[in-house]
Amino acid sequence: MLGLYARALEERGTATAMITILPEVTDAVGVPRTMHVPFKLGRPCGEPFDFETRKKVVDQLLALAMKPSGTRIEYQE
Amino acid sequence: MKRKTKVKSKLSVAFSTNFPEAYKKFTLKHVNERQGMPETVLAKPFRECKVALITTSGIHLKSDRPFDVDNPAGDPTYRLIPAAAQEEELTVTHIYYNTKFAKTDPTIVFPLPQLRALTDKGEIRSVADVNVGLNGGILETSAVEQEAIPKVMALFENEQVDIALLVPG
Repeated sequence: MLGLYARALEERGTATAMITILPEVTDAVGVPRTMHVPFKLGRPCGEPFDFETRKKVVDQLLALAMKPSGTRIEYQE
Repeated sequence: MKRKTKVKSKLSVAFSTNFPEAYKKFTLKHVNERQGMPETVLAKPFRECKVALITTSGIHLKSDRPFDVDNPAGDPTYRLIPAAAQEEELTVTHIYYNTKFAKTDPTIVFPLPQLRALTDKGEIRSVADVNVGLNGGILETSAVEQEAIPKVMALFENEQVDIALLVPG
């Protein structure tokens, strides 16, 4: 469902970057830009109170928004 | 939450935790494949951009109406979270993942303070006032596509959001 929001936003002038835990699923939906993270379901931005990881996730996700649609990246530790 | 919903939640979380491959297959089976790849090209640097967060983790203000998790079809509605919302004002209502961790630290599904910090440093212009909480796990998405998405799109256009960062549950 989140991928549908991403597609609708891109069609209407908002660039998107989305975290994915299941890349096969987000690829099938055609999510424009995704960053695959190695975290568990329910913890897409890392473990509680690990703010160092949280900052890296946000920084890398934001940088992804500037890349062409169709870009897939892996989260870098 | 009804007792029946609690049982459904426990079974779902146990399924996705213990059988990740089967969970992935189940999810893929229910995906409507889409063709083409829409694109908005950012025409300005990050420091001039307004950024919003959208998440299907079921996040909402404690003062707001929780998502209706007792509805077997899921809850296709959305909740808005202002840029200045503090962690202690937030909670999550979701039955398809273990919400214990997100209730302890909402930033694991909704990194709003980290986004605000980028504003403070001048790396982005601002955080939008239309950050969106959704309740994931909806397999039949027509109500989402016909009702909720057009409303959220109108809010984003009105607020002139340049970038949306999307976080699953």
